[in-house]
Amino acid sequence: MTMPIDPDLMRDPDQNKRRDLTIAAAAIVVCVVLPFVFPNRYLIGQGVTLFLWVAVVSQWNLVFGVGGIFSLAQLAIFAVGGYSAAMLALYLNVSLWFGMFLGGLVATGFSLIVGLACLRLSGAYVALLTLALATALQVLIITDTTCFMRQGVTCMTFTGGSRGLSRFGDFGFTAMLGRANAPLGNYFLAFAVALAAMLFAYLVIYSPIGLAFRAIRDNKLYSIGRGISSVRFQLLIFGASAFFTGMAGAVFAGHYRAIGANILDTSLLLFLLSMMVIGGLGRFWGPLAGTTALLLFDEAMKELGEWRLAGLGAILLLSVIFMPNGIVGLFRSRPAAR
Amino acid sequence: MTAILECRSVTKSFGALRAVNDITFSVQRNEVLGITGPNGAGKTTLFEVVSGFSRASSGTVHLGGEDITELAPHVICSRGMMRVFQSAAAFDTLTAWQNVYIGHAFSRRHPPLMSLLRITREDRASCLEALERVGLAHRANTRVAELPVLERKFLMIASALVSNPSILMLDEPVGGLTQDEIDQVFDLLTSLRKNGATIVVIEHVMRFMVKIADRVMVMHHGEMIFDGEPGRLARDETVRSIYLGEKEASRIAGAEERKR
Repeated sequence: MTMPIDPDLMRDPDQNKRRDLTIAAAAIVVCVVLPFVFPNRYLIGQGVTLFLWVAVVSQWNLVFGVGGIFSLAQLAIFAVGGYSAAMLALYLNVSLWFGMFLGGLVATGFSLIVGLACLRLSGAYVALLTLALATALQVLIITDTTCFMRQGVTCMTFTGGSRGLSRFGDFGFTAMLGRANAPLGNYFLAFAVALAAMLFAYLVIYSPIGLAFRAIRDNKLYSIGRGISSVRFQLLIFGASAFFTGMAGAVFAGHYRAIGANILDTSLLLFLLSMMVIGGLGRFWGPLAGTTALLLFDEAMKELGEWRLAGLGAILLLSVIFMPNGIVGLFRSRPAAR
Repeated sequence: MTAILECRSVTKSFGALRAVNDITFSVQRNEVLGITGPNGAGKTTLFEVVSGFSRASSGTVHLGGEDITELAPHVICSRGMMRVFQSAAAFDTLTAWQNVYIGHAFSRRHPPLMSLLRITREDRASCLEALERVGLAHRANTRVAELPVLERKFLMIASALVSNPSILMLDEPVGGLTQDEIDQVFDLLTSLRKNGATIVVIEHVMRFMVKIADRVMVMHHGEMIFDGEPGRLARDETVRSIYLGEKEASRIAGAEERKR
């Protein structure tokens, strides 16, 4: 009745190391070569945006897709990382290079608190609470009018208020690489963060911890009945997904040499959520596919003005109907039956 | 003989309702205890309390001599009690061996840190062995969403067995199965018992119950109305009138006769 199987042949049907390595190598080569083939400032700037959103969405996918926790706090975590690095640079003269890691740590702490707050909630209630937290954070920043520091004749608030924070410097690529090549510095820094974030996501998704996240998502009670502490693992997801998100926030601040409360806008949140859904929830390549697809689409729609948002809505609608498993789902290999 | 599981005066109240009322029993090593009774008698609630998913209102539960009354359910797993749920629960997006792996990796009392980061060849071999015990080794790489109900039930048992539990708690293992499938479950449980397993099983299907259990407990309105050998069940006046009815009672008595 049973035939012998070699334990080495037992694998994750979603994981195909050769395929993953091939795609990764190709993507890395393209990203490295592209700015030299097309040394165009606009393109390089869009590249930075792509990398930052890939970093954020790949980490969000750990919580939302792999863990099945409908948290909408990811941009708030991103903002906390960016604001922390910017404030450390502005008030304490901490270099952004160092602040980038500190921003990641502060973001992790913030995310753990969000995770704690969500422990007793499930499903849509998590989405409501986290959205409320993100909105509250934005309102707190915008309504901050208390004078914290004088800059010339103007009064600076602690968080920068509705004007945002600026004049905290950047990563210093102009001094390092010269004026012409400075954008390349930001490009490769954002690339490195995206690469690290994706590598981290890969390790998490296919490790025992990733299996535990998926088990909790599939059936929470049963997972507890097999020894998984849902409290410990939920906090682990929230903590783990925050570090690179916060770091990306710091790179964002350094790249634009400014950060404002508009990054907490719901429209941006929904844009990134669409990337995650269209790419393929819970799948490793989903965030990269979705982010690339939506940024390309956004680029194509640029001329259309207000119709851009309508177009985005239409794309989201069509993709949910016709590719319920996202772009990556279209390429899903049939699971090996036996 | 040492008692593996010992419940003393376990009570669970929901407001004024006593879903489980002052139940005392113990399970010896290598014993199969059956729990039965009408719908709403409190059988599953008793399981919930014993396995820590629900806090007892009063009373104590000891597992292998250790007081587990206040422990969280995932901690109770690591102490050696594994539950098999009523529905054919599974982790649908994982493969069969990954389902078993969850029970293998996270039910350990002191898991080495590395075991949370890497799946080793030994881990896979242990999972495969557990799958073999329930006859599902050929399904190791199948995504569980594609398995039929009976195989899902077997898989749930395999993910419990993989941790070598000291006691197995089965909630209606043959509910909704055909006679042929019931026989397959019976064969599996019999082989587990031969290998020294200790089992508590909730079941409505009486013919299955009297065959598999060494001892049967009948619950009604949260109270225990019978505790004894399955052979005495059909002759007990209270059980006949409250639960079985005359027809079923004589059928079981007949089955008992044939067994001897």
